Amino acid sequence: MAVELLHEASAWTVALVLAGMAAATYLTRITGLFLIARVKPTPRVEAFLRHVPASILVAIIVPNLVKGTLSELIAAGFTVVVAVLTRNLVAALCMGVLAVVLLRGLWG
Amino acid sequence: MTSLGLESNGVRPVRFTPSGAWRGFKQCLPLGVSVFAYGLVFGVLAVQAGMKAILAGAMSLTTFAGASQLMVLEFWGPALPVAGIILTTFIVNLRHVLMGAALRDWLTGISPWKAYGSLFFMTDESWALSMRELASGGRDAAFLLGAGLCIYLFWFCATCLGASSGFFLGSAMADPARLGLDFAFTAVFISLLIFFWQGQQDVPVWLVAGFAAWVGLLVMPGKWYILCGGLAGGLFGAWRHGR
Repeated sequence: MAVELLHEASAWTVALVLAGMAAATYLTRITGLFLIARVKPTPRVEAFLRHVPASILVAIIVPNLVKGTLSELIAAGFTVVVAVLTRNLVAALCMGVLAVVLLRGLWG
Repeated sequence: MTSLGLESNGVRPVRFTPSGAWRGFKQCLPLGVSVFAYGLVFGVLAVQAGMKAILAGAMSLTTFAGASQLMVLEFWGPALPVAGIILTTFIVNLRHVLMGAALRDWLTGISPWKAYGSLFFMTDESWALSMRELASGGRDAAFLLGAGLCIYLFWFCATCLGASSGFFLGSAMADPARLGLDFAFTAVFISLLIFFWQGQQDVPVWLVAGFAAWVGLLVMPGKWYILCGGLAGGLFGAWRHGR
């Protein structure tokens, strides 16, 4: 055990990191509700909150497409088509994954 | 799968039932498969970075946030910068603040214990599915908990499997791209965005959000671009509202 300690951070430090990461992450998860439950939002804040969800989705998607290969861009197109036509999440997900696998296989 | 027809928000009271949780759990299952692949990757990389398997598992149970867990591996070694790791974790996960606030119609309608308990399990994936359920008139807040628990289960089991089998599995299975699973998240978020579409007035907001995210990706580390795009789109929407 004493030998191990020479090569690794002490158990206390590791425990502190583990607890600190958990606390920091949980804090981010609850802060939004904590604030919104206490402060009555103005109409302008309401408008802000109304536009946040779709904006977050856009923000998650855009980098994936900017950094994406041609296969991924085409697969994204197929995903959009199936999502619009079927309004079904699982169908669009399967289409996207299938398309990307086939397209990647097609040109290496 | 519900259709987006029922627009009865604010009329029926919010409920919190086991069937709602089960519904969220089931809807999250396809995403659970992809999360499982990434949990394997985290487990394998954690052990390679010198983290004990039991610690990797414990981290997946307590922190339960993929990006920050992968980030901490960069710091892992004999000398751990404790304050730096905790601060970075907080910053990487700041997007959760906006996400939690967006769920207020559900979370302010149930007891604080249930609300703050459910939020422990909130991830990008379970949040996005919950927002869709909320937008389509769903009034059972336990959906968020069920969807979160689904991701939690897959993430934890995959971490343990990846960490305990280490290099062997690492070489054989830890490449989600081979099965197209890396694209699963993109496909899901694209589909959810399509379902969020309400009309042409969305276009400018989405363009602003997309541009801000792109700039954020270029100039900021980690997942800051998500917060950047979310804030920009929201602020633009608020600014337009005031004019």
